[in-house]
Amino acid sequence: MSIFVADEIAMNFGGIRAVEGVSFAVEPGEVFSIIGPNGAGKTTIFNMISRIYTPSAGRMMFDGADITNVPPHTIASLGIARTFQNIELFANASLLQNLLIGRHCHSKVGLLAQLGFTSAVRDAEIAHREKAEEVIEFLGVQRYRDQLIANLPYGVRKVVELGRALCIEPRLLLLDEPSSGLNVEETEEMGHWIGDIRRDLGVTIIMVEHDMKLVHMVSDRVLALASGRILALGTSSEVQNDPEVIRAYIGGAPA
Amino acid sequence: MIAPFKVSYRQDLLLAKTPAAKASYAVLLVALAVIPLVMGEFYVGELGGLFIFAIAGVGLMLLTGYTGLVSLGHAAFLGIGAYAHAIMLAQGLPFLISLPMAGVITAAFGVAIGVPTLRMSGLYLAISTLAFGSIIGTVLQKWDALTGGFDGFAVRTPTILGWKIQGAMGTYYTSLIVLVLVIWLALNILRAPLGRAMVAIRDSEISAQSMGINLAVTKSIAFGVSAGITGLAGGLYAHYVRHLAPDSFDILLSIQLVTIVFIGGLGSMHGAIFGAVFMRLLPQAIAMVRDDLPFGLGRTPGLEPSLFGLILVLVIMFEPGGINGRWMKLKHWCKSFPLHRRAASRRQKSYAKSERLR
Amino acid sequence: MESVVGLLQLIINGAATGCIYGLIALGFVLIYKATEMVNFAQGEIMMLGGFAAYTFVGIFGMNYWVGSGLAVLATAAFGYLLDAVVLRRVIGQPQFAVVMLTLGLAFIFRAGAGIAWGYDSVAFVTPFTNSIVRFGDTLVLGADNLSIIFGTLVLCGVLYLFFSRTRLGIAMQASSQNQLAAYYMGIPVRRVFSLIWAISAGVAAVAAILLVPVQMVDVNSGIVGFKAFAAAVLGGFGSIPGALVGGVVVGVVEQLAGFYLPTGFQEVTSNIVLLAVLILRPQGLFGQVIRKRV
Repeated sequence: MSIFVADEIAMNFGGIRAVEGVSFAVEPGEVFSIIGPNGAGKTTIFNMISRIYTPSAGRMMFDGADITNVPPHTIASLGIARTFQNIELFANASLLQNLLIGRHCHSKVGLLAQLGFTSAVRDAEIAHREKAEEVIEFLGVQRYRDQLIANLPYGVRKVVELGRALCIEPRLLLLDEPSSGLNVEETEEMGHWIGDIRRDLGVTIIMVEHDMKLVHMVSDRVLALASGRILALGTSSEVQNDPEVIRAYIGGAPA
Repeated sequence: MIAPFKVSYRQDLLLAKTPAAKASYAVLLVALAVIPLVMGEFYVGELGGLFIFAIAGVGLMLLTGYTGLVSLGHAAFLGIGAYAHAIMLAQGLPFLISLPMAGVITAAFGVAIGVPTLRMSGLYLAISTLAFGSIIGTVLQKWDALTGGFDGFAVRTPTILGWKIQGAMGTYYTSLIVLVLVIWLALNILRAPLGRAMVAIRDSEISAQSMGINLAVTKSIAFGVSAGITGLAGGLYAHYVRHLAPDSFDILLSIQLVTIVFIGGLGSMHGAIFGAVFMRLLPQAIAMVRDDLPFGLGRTPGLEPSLFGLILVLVIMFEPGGINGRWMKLKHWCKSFPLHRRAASRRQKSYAKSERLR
Repeated sequence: MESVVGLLQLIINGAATGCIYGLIALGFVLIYKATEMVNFAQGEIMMLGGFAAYTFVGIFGMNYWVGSGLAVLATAAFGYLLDAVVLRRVIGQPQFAVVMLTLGLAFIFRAGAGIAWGYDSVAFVTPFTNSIVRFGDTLVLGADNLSIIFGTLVLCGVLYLFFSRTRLGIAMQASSQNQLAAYYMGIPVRRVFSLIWAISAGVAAVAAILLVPVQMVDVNSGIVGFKAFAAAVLGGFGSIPGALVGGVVVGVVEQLAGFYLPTGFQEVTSNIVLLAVLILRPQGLFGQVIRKRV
């Protein structure tokens, strides 16, 4: 069974149709990339899945349940995590704190217990810390553990945001342009992280990406969008050679 | 100073992380406990007032410094706490019930004002809390039957377990105990998931939400806790002033409270205390030099608020980290002496960031 | 018939007060649109404008029009310097730091005015003081209130022409919409922002001068700035016509509340309007909803 299904989803802003009638299904364990020129509606689709936007039409199913209208803060506890195009970390908190915030959806201690910091809260905190340390180790960012995000280089922040999403222990991970702002080496490294996450942690990944090399390196299937509509869907070489896709990118038919 | 080796995650959750810190807080506590025995009544009274403002500062710091929600109406919560406590005392309720009740009532008001303002951020929140504060101020003035109107009323002297809480000494010790309790509560919140959720909301609402943080609930709780703590300060304030009158809870007081957290340094509990110390010391300092100022400046009625204004302006322009920020830099300077690099504490060049879309 | 006339008088008086709110709100909006700063000292700048006019007209005995013009220019220059010396330095700091900064400035201005002009209320004679205008047999209106409404309309016309017809006005609009693009187009954005501060300070001074026949100037006159927030919020806090309409609405509602409701309500009317708008329709009458893109 598909882990995520988008069924004819559409999004209008005022009169502008950012996404119209897009359908696709993502299988468990695959890396599913969405490509397309600027303004194709890629990030809009992400914002619909993470419920920042409510689709104007259509349905979204995650793991067999309808998530079209669930409140945005419940998405994480369902098992969907995301990163953002321009990094939305908590800049005035330490790396460790950022990862611990990723554990928020797993915290079940009551308000009064927190006020008194009971032993139940302490034990839960230690458990969260252990999980966060696993992620720190997985991504190899130990030496930045107690630094403020604001003081970290861009490339590291990108990795931290990935780590924060992993702390949710998601089953579906949405990566919004994981390579943007990274240099060639960092992008390659990101590609390895993505491979590891899929292989070692068994997380399904949907990725929006411009860097075709990265897309080619990690994706099982690629969805090409233009102007809010689907152009092509298939393996990355199929999509890259699709005449429609080439026309959308280059603006003319290939010779 | 060398950071101690950490051997367990539990260690990171302790409030005083090193033996040195533990010792210094213990010394401070003992010193505060014996001060009234050696100092004059006037200073003991002033220190009691300082503790009360520190309590309110801690309450507002949770909201403004950690959740990023600015309130320009916290004097109203101080007022609600003060009146609720004083009225309950007058009805014959014992102190140990009426003070916590005052906190709970104020917290309820906090949630009530918090809920409609959930969708607002920054500017709109500041304006609407300002409006809320001035409405409460008017209600305290006009609702004669409950509040005694303009004239107010005298606050009853309570007893705890047969011990009369009166005079400077009584206010001093009760305020100190409540302050310690409130700091403990605030630090507990900050090391628990709630505190992290608050910080997350401060730094990025949109990703806080994607991390599973319920913005509405967390903001309401932050408002409630902050108002509740300020309400406790209000209850104690009633004893400090001994006679309640509505005009003490005006916009100026609200702004003084925000000034405490700003001058102290946003996002630090030390800052809340530093700010309160500063806020209460300044009038004393002014009183000392008042007669020596040239041009009759000392007799200008607006001297005190204008100095607050001036200091606020200077702090925001030149030291946005507040007293706490300056203190951290000083510590860093001492640690790294003589290898200090000026650039280490230099602010990054900043540009206009849009907060319209947060 | 009598009650209709009474009602009309209430509304005109309310509209006049509302024009003052509207003009101060206009100052908020101009600055907010351009720099995203909110000037909590706008009311105090108005108070300074009132004292400046008092100095020229009341103390130096200048002609009303000349003295008022000088006062407006002086206040505008003050606004320019305020931005150039203080506010320009805090660009990039969080919005509420600027709020606190301007609140601090407000206290300084109040104390400064107290030291310079004393703590008594002052006024000076204007052409509109204590004269009335009759419409037909029954409707009698004060020239003071009418002059406020008329003066506001004229000022708005001038501002409209300035922003739509002059190079500088258009440069200001451009800088408000996109600083970076305006900068690349060769517009000296920083100077333009200082000029916007100058204009809003000048508008506040005009409001102060128009208010003189109705209400004396003292160091606490600036408190009216808080009421102007209600006007700005009602108008959507980004809309210039909205600020004026909002001001008039708040002024009229306040006047009616003072007449028909028990005492105490008039003082809080503007605050209640403000909270109601923020809760029910946070984008105001003319604002639009915008969200962050991620």
